[in-house]
Amino acid sequence: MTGRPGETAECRPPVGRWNLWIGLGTLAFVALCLLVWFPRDIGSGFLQTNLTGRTVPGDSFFPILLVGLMVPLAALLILSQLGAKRGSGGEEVGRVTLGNLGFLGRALLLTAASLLVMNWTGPALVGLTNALGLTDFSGYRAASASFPFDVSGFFVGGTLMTCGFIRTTCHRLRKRHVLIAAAAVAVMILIFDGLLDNIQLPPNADL
Amino acid sequence: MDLFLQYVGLGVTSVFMGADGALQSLPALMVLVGVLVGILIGAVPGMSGPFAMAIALPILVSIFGYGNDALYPVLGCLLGIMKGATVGGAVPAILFKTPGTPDAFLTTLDGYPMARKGQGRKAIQTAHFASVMGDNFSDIVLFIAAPAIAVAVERILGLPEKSALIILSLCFMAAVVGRAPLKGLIGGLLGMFVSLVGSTMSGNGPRLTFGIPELGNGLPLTSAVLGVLVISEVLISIEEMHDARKVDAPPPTRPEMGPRLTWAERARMLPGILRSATIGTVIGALPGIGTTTAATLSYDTAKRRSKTPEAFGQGTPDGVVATEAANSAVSGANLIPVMSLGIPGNFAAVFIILAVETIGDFSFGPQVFQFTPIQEIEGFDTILNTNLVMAFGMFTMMVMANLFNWTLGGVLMGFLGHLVRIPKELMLPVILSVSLTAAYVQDGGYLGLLTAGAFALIGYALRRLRISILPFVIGFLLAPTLEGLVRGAFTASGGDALFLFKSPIAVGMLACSAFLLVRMVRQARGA
Repeated sequence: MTGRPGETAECRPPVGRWNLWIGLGTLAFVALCLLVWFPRDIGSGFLQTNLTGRTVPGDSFFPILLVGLMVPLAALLILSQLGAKRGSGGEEVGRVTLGNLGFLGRALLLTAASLLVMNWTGPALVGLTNALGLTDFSGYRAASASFPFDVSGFFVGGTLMTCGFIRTTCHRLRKRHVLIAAAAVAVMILIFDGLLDNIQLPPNADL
Repeated sequence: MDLFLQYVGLGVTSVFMGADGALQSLPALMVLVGVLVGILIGAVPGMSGPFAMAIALPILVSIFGYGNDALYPVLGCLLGIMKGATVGGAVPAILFKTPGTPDAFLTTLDGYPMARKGQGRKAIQTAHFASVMGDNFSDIVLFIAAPAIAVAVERILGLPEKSALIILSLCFMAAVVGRAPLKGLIGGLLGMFVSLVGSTMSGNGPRLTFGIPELGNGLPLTSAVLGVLVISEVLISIEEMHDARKVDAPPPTRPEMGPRLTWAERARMLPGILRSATIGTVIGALPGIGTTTAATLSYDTAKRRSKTPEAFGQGTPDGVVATEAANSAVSGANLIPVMSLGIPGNFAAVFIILAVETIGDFSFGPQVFQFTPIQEIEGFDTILNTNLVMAFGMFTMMVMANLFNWTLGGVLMGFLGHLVRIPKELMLPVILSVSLTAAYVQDGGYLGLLTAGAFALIGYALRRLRISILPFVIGFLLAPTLEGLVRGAFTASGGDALFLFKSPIAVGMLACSAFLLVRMVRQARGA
């Protein structure tokens, strides 16, 4: 599942290390929470005194208990990995490879680019129709409740995103793939915008 | 007994009559829609009931909105999907050796050889009969066990015991799900921690928001769960397809369907169905143990008890009965901990809880099954436990879904073979777009989208690092309840640091948790 083509057992890092890193990372996260994050971002301490003089839990009570419980678990994970028998079953080890990060980066880039297209298409269409004298909107906000301006960005951006991911899974993009992506987005528009009230498709809820 | 029957009657009528006393058909219609969608989705390889429930929930909330009036249509549809998917998954498993849902994987062992022998119709009808019988059996157990457990829990367990119960459940789940229990438990705590972002308990403003005002109301629940469960899984599948070498497989050919299943053959299957449904129900009632375990255990038991064990794997209906009755029985039984304790045990239950928490005033837990005497006060209103009425309404919708599964399921199953041709490499990108749109629409714009994206990255990392997702999600959902219980128990004890160890039951539960932890460490060391 995680293996990438071309990788061999010899060139893989020792997979047991990943559990050590998870344990150490958890301990670092706990330290960061207790020393930096909680003091700055939680309004009251571990315990506080209420108006009747009783000692009651503060807002930090439960978060500190939670991260406190992470410490022995992380320590046990580290110790169990250090003392694990060679070749034994043990705790399953996973890993995140550079290939995985590359894929995530590409997916993130594709999604971000599609969202940008979603944001720009509507205003561009309004600008174009205004320039052609077909409409007289003061801007996209004024047109964002009128068809087709309200769904133009979602249609173009959504189709672009779907096509991008189809290109990833199929290793190529054919005309019928674009048609399928456009049809899928059109069906979403029909359901969300046509059949439902008070629903705003991207990017209209954030104008 | 009178009171019990009164509540049952009110529950049943509440599904068919609105608050104003007028007849309503919407909940029944949505159950039907859910069953149809579930059967269809179940028959598409790579899809599953929880997957469809995740995508359907934001859409349903967009359609029906919030409030108790929306609860029945939304829950009805989700329950229908959950039940329909248990039936649909068997068809491609039998005809093309391609299980529609992960639960149906073991059905290929005997279902596919049966189809190859020209008994495809008989195998499908066997799967349908066993599946619906198993589901019905577990529902009956649910209807009896959930109120009984809830009443017992409410009488026996106080705040410390309930806190210890949640801790034990989380430890149990981490121990049984996946092969990395220690990491699973850390994941569960992380899930709890993440759910605290933006929450507050003592009026000192929202916590852990990094000063971002949009997080002041907490993280959008549905988008978060959609991200961690669905989008992360889709991303991983897309990546695997990208990495895989493309092989153009020939389109699967439909085998000869052959004769029908006779009533005499159905009658002979009943003992096997009962045994497998019992195994599925017991497994399903335990949080964290899934359908695959139930089906495997049931298949092994059926094989061991059979007079012809060598026939298993060669195409015997007993094998199909063993897997289908067991994995379908899990779907009703996994609602036992949900309804009686408020603790979800699998992904389908997560979405049922999520729907309830998102939409109405109703919430699961032992308090639901309090049989408050029904009193009508003239000029005011009727005093009764509305949660209990809703619980019986939910049971009614489950019975309706079973009826639709019996009738429509049997008819539809014969036509589902074509769905195996839907290419996964086109379906997954479309699902990704639908999921992201649903997150945006449901949770008010880019906040929902960003939350879904952030949780998708968390889910991706957890899956890649072999950390079970289920404890993370359950921890995320249960944290507010656990925090309320722990704070209440601490305050009630007068600020005693050992507040969780004052009750023998709580100590017993924590001792069990410690035992599970020791077992996890031994497993981690490879002992």
